[in-house]
Amino acid sequence: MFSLFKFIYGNPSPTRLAASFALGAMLGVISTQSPVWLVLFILIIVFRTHIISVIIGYLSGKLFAVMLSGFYVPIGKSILISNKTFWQNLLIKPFICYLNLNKAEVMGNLIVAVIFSIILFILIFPTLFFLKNLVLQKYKQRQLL
Amino acid sequence: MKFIRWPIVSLLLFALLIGFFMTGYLSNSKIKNDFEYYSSDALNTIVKVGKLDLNIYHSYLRMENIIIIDPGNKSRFAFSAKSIDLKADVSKFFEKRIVLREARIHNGALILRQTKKGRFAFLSKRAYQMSEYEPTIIKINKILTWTADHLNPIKIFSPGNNQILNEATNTNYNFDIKTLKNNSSTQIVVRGYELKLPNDYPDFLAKLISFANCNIDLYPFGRDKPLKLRNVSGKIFELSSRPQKHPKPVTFLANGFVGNNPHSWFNIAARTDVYSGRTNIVIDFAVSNVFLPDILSIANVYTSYARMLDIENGYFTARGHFEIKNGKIVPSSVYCRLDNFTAQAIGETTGQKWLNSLSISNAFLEAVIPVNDKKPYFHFETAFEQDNINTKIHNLKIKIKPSDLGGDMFNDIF
Repeated sequence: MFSLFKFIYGNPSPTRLAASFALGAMLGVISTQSPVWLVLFILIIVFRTHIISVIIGYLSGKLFAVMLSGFYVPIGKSILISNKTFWQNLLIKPFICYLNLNKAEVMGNLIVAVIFSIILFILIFPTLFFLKNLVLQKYKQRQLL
Repeated sequence: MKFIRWPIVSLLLFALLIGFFMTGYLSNSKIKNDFEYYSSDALNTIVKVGKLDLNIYHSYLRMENIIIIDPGNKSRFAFSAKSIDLKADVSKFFEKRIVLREARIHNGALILRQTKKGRFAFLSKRAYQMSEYEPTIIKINKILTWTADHLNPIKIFSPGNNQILNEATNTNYNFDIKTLKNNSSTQIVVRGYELKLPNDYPDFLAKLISFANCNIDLYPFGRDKPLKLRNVSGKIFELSSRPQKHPKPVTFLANGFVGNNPHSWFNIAARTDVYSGRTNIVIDFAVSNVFLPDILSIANVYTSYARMLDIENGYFTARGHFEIKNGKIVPSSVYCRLDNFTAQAIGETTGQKWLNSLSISNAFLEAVIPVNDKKPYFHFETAFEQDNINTKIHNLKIKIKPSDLGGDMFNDIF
């Protein structure tokens, strides 16, 4: 059990693990047809994320995406119509215009994915922090024995 | 900085740099094949390019021996050119716009078909039906048809055509895409809400298009024999997909020969400004010794006058200035001359059968026709009143059949 945990856990900090998992989940929730997915994928590769956590997060994100897909359009629409002028000025900027965020579904997908990943991060980070301390304590106790 | 995978970043930058600088040095055969494949796929037809040179660093693309087969009729090409040079503005690409700083077309050949409504369409009717799910082909056709429409002097000069002003300010043509299965119109359905972004600029802009030694075949509506424009050279400035949003006017200069006759030529300079609701059009033109029956088949769509005569022979020469300022036609005049005019009147078109008896042969007719904003815009009757017409008619024949005229015709005479 300990060796399996070590295999999955590796050496990274709980922050990195939680962030990687959250980013992976975000990647899973965002539709692969959306240009945002590609941007996020490049960011995940460029930044020093924990790949195994990303993959696990991605799979869990894919599972949750089925349940969350119904919220995309209403959330995206409410965001876009909340401040039309702001979004119209922002979404025509270079590069951003390619992300198709003026479509409620794409915008909603991104917002839901961001919220989902933040929630996951908030949930996972303290858990991992607690687990790390617990494992370290047990490890130290075993070393002492 | 420890959060970044520097090897990955280096690899990505290296790949970008290679793509940016080395494209010109690498073999272009793969790019050529890809271009042919994707353009053929997008246009739903066969696109062949003899040679392709791409230099991303200089934003330059050169293609040689380009052929686009008409998807509606595989036995003929819709467009061909010996070479096309494009210089693009790459920075605008990131704003989702295509801006060409310069496009040069050499030895091009284009076929335009006149539709029933007088427009010149780039592709055959069948090609539209085949392009039901291919919006790219519609986009390309829109650009070409828009060019043909807005710089179409015949259409602008056409008497009685009061739609000209509307069409000059409205370029959003609606294309009903018919499906092959049930011939019903299809619509692109966007799921959910879509915020309309302010589009205060044209998506496509060509600052300069120059063409040299090009051939254009204009197929009049319902005719198989084209009007051939040969050795056409010229320039188009500031051609955009949405001229209402582009502050600079479209300027067009062209000259060439009509048919293979070196004495039959045309010269046109036009400027169209429809920015922000304005409608200013200026056209200066000159045509010389154009074989009249050829151009009449095109003019028939715009005016009923041409159909009143069965013209067998005649050479048309004209020069003039035509201007629309703030949506109103500015008074001007057009000098016209007809040489060797031979025609037979057709009474059936006007309901006056006695006209069938009128025939003219080898006539010379010269006129300065006033143009103003009152219908029918071209005032032949005023030209007669002001003695602006110099006519020499030889062999005027009028054959009268009293039975056609009715019994009361000669009552006043005798």
